[in-house]
Amino acid sequence: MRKLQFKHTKQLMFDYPVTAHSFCLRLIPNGDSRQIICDVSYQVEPAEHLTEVTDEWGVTMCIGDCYADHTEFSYTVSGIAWLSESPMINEPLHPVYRYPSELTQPGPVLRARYAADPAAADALPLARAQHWMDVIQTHFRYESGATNVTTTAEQALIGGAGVCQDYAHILIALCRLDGIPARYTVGYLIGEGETHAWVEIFDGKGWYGMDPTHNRMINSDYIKVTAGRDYADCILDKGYFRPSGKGFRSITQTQSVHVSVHEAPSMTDNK
Amino acid sequence: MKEIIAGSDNINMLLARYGVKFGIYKNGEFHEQLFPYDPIPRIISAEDFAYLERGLAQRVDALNRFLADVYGAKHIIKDGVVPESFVFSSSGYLPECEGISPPADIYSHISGIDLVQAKDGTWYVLEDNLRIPSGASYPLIARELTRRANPRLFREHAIRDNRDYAALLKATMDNVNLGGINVILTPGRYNAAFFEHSYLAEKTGSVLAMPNDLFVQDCKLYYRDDRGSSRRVGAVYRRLSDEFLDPCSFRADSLIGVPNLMAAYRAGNIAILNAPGNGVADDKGIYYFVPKMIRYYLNEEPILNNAPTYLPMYEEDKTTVLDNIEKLVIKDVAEAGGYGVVFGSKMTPEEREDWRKRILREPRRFIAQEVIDFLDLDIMDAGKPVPRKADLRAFVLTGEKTTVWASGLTRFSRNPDSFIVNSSQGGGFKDTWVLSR
Repeated sequence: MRKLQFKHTKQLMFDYPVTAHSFCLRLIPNGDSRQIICDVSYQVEPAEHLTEVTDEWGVTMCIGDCYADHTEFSYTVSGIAWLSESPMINEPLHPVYRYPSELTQPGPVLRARYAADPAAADALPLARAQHWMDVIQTHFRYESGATNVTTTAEQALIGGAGVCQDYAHILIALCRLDGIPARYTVGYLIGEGETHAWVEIFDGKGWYGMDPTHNRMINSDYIKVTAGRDYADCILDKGYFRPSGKGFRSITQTQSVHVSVHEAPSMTDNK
Repeated sequence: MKEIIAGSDNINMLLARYGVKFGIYKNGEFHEQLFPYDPIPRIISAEDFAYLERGLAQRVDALNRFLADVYGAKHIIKDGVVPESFVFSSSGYLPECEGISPPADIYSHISGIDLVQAKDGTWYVLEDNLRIPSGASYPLIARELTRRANPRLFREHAIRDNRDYAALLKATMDNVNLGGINVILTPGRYNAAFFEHSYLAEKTGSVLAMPNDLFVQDCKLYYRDDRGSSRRVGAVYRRLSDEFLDPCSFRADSLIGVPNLMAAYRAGNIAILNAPGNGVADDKGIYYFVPKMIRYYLNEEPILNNAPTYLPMYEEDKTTVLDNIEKLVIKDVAEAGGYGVVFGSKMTPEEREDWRKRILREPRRFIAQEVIDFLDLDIMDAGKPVPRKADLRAFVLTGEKTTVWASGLTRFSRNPDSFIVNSSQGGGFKDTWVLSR
């Protein structure tokens, strides 16, 4: 197993003081058969009434609020992840991952793509998913700013360019069309600097991480935080606030995210 | 009866003055309109009602068992009684509700079951509404006004009193209340059923709250009153649809809702009536399987009939639908309130061909039903009785046990050619009298 240290910081800045700010954060990576998570600590600033609840998939949600006026909100989570080299996660399938979700619903263009490049008839799920990643590499290119968080897999493919979120949505749509259960996965990747999105597919026995943006199976460079049907299920932080004082006004927010993942000194290294 | 008919203009005037209104959206604009009241009541015999009572309680009990199963062990899917695809590709299925056991395992506390009676007297269930069925306040207030105008009529005839609805609703809330006040959560005055929300809050002694009046702290729900003091909420009868309930859980872009309400619900600190995620059981496609659910969970034969229904996703049914489209009514499973309902008999040959293609393309999206020969009810039109199509929304409340309210909302279509009676399509309503003997 490989030992990695991770730290994820996000800062939100508002151009006007806000109040009655409620938030729900999914910050703490979950352990599974591929990764062991320990020494986790997190800070949320400013926060009142911080509580933890476990969500439907076993992920810890940190919920809280802040009533004092503030123009800045930030959180930091850090910890240690022990990662196995195998991309396999031993977890049962929830049937919801067989069916299209709002952001992965195929339209005519995705269906045409699916029909135009069929996978080999006798290929197994992993090979088929690899085939769909190859197809995406041919017909989609990386470009930030071409899409946004509400772009569907169909719209992204029509545009022909996007970011890791779009690669993941298109792969999920193609896999589900091909009868392979697939889910959207968010986490950290060494050297990425931000959060990263990839896909896990179910081969009948377990889940395998596939990264369509880099066209490869995942390895021990990847730390998983959470998974869901699509991006909308995997938003790590959701918040709701209103401007301070009376009356309405719109608030502009800017954000900065920093993720660092690096090798942690390991005691076993000395042996 | 003459007195009631003579008094109907007065009652419609009073209803208008009290603000008994119904909002509809037309061409993207919100219009508030009066919900026209017709003075001739629908009368249900004691014998018929006893039959409906047994059938409706059985149906709602099975639907509650189904919801607990879908969000829990999923036996009915594993046993192949309901196809997996119907459950998990339904827009009403919410993964956020997986593994939550609501208080007393009740999901549908207030169910609105829509029925019609055929000319031969047979009752058919047309639709189950397990999310936020509205309409109970209309027969309540109409009865109140009629009773005030004709007190003797109700003393001398064996008509069951319907004023117990508020007590039933209160008992339903109290049964699951986890400590604190009862609240009725309304999206606000621009909601189609705002009148009803305020009326029911008053009658049940609950607090009427807008989303901004509620907040979650340490996974508990609180109500903040005008003076700024807070009270713990134990049960919330929400009249806000699932996707707007909690912007930290469902639609992040929602501007209404109570942030982190779902976290409080998951932590077991608040009862939500009706439970979020119920849409998976009142989907027009799932309807087909309700008789099977009754047999599966209760080991009983269904007492009430479903309208004969075909699912084009099954090959055999698909052929029947394509061959008999002119005799059937096609419903889009994703739509509600009388939208997305088309009658094969009213289609031109080109439209029929178009529909056949749509059904072939998306067989899971549509169901087809045989058109039931409705028993028409008389309504007053320019001083004369004329027959019109009508349905009955029965209100079934599940508390310690499941009870059918001895009244209900009878809706009718004002247009002589129309079968669609939904109030959002401009229909009117009648009081429903259940006889006590």
